[in-house]
Amino acid sequence: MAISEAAPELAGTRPRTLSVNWTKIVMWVALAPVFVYLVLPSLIVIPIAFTSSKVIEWPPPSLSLDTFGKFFADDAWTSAIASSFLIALIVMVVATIVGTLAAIGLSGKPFLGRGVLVGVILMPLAIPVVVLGLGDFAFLARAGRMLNGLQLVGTRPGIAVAQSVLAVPFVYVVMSAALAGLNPQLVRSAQSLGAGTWSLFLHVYFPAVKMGLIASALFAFIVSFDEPVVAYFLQGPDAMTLPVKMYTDIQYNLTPLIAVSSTILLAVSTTIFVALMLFVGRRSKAVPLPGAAIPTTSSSSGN
Amino acid sequence: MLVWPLVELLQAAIQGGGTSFDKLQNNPTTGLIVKNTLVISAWTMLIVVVLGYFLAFCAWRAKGAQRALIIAFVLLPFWTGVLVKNFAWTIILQEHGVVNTVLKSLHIIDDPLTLLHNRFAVIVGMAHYCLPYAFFPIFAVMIPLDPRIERAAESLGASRWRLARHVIFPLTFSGILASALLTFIISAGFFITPVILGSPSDRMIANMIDQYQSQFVDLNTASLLAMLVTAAFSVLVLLYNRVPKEGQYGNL
Amino acid sequence: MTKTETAESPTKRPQTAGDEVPAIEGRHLSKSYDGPLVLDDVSFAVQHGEFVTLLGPSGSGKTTTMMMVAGFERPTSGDILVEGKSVIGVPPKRRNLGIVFQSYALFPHMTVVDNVAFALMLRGMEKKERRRRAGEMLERVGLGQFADRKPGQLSGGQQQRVAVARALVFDPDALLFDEPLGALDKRLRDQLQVEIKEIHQRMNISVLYVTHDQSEAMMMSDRIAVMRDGRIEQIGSPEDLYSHPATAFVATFLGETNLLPCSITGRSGEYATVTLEDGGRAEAHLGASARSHQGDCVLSVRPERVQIVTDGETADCRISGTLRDHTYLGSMHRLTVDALGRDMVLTLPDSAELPSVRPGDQVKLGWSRADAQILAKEA
Ligand SMILES: Nc1ncnc2c1ncn2[C@@H]1O[C@H](COP(=O)(O)OP(=O)(O)OP(=O)(O)O)[C@@H](O)[C@H]1O
Ligand SMILES: [Mg+2]
Repeated sequence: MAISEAAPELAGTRPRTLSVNWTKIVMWVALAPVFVYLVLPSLIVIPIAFTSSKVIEWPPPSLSLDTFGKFFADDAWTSAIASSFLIALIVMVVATIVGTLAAIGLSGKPFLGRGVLVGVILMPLAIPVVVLGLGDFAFLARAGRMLNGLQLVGTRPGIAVAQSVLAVPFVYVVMSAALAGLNPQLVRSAQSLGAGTWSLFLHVYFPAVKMGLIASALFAFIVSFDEPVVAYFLQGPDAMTLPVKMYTDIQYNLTPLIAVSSTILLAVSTTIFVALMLFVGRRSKAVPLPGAAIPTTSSSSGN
Repeated sequence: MLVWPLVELLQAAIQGGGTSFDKLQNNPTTGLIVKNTLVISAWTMLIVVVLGYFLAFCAWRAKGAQRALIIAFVLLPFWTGVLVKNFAWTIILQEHGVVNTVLKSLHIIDDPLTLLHNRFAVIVGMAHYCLPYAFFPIFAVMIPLDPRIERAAESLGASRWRLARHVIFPLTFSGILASALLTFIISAGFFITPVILGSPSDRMIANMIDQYQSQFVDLNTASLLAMLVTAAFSVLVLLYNRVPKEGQYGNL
Repeated sequence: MTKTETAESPTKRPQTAGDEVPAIEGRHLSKSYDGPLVLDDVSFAVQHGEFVTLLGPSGSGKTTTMMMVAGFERPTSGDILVEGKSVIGVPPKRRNLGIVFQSYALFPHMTVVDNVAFALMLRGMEKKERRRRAGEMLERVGLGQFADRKPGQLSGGQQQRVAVARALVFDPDALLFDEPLGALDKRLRDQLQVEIKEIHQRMNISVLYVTHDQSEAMMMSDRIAVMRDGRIEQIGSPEDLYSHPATAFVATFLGETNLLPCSITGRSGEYATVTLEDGGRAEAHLGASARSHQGDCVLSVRPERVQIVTDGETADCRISGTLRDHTYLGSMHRLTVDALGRDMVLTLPDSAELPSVRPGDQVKLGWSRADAQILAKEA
């Protein structure tokens, strides 16, 4: 008996086969144009922002920072940046708090009417944004009249409140998932070790949902920052966000300044995206990647 | 803040009542706009479901880093603001834009093609926006599938075509349905893209709502239209919610 | 020893007929996925009607070998022959091999009978006829009444049987199983082992089977190929492997054994003399890996071949030690003896007359020279 007895010596039978995986190659070749289609619109605005030309030309004749200079010297654009950041910050705070409270309130045992409440919270995802924008306009106009002529339409707080409604469902989805990922054994064992409400929150709940909170906040920020429709319906002289200003300028005043604005929007969303990927996506399995969670959860009417 | 705006619209719509309805009915563009909305949404849906299916299938077959790469590309449009995308498409598609410049330098064309401010541009832009929404419902039904079923079918004698027809397609059909409904719903609500990338005759239903509100300053009619749209959407959303989604074969 | 009698059953063709073409043959198979070799010069053959098992720990290359035979992986070098003809480049669908996958890979959207009939449909069989045949096959695996269920409504064991029926129904040249019982509990596994074995005998079909469970391999196979790190360590009948392991790895992977370090002092044919750690000498059978090996060796003795010897008795080899532990396991007694500074294990059948020793007593252990294997020491 020898090691591997069934291998009779067969002279010269060692055909070398070059294994080329054709399916794979065909697949990636076919994917390439799709990738270009997906990437191109995200990258093309950047060189235009650095053009030396006064008009939009492709390719840019030469690169310079003039357009950036003009952009930041233009009061209309700087005011739009201020509006966008301010509103997005308010939305971030309001939506994260409201959405988290809703997620906590609706987590745990099912109760009568819970389905309806969830439906209401998620409703903005299922209704065209135009309808919401129009509704917000009508509602804020009336609310303003009822509150002794308080100006709500056309103000930054007005837009912020209306956009928060759009951001709450995202926060709710992420926080519900984070809470669902919380191990109930952990709560019980903490309680058995003598943890009170406060230390329970501090040492069990908060660490478990921390990543979810960060993700929610970032997500709420970006929902507002990129949102044009509600902001369009509620715009005012001092409350015009970057997307709304761009919407108007693309139609009536097409200049490379729009490319600068695009680059800024892009930079902000990229930062947030990278932060989410590195910070949240990696460390916590309990928090679903928001980008992946939302589309399958419900619909969203865009633009 | 969630419900009241809608109540407000409903009230305004009722206030306008028959008058608003007559206005809509007598507006010669109503028919065109409804048709635009349906046709453009249908095209967008068709394109993104095909592309989304292809991408989802590739992502399903690929593993690890390659799968992550495909998903990252799909997520890209998701993270680019709508206005950035629309502006980018005007740069790409305009008369002296990227596409025309490239085609001319390759001597494929002599005169620039008209690619912007037409229906083609609207569909290109909308499909780009919708692709992630088409991808994920399909990908979600594919993920739990055991990649070995492909091998099983092949070992039983299935050709590529038979494999696709008898195994992969039926297994992912619910994903396709969900993806188609979702992208149709999203497409039909488009507001910005038809204005920026389309011609005046490519306006969609959302633009008509805006037109009544900001141009004709007729909140009642705008509200009625908004309510009708919401009702139509609700039907689609209900349908969408009935489609079985991820995990229907998850136990295998 | 749990060797089945099937290897000698008259319906079987002789398993080592040198001039007969094997049903499946792998010749010098190597594979690398742009890196180190995961398979290194693997050769084996499955004769007609034979049940051959690839046995090895996780990552040893069993699935890779199997998938090459099935046609889903291409060898980096080497050749695969089915019925004597090379099938390199032949797609899986034209190899006519029935495959049972570890997770069954049933089509979840088709009923059980449609799953089984799928291959017949692909071969253009008319609907009524293929349903009839699929139904028959389901009866054979005892699932006749489940024909119209979806796979998701069946238990794991039932799904497994559907997978077997599906792989059998189109009359394949051979059956390939990749850990088909891995996901099932012990009791069900034992039962299905018997069923698969019965199907194999009844249909006289050639089988290549993959498992990492040595008792499953022993129970089912005509021959076993023990794999490790992409190589085949030894191929042989279960008896061969158990009583004449070629390497220390095979000796420890199949069943329990005692390994005593030793060095060879003289060779004479099949046997050699060794010196044990305490300086004592012993004679033992030369295992394959020690034949041309010059360095350190180990002596392998199975626990049931070790005896407690009294002073009057003779034994080819003997060592002394202290009884440390005695456990009763129902069918046998298990004794641990501290000898040569290590634990020696021996087992005695329940029926055996127990020597009157208690823990702490001095005992002498002995075995016959044919029951001890000298093998190359492994790191
Ligand atoms: N597609 C692949 N790419 C790279 N390496 C692979 C691939 N498939 C298998 N391997 C490697 O080849 C080796 C053998 O894998 P194989 O799946 O054949 O092992 P196995 O014996 O079937 O193990 P198990 O009992 O765990 O199923 C492993 O080290 C594995 O990591
Ligand atoms: Mg394996």
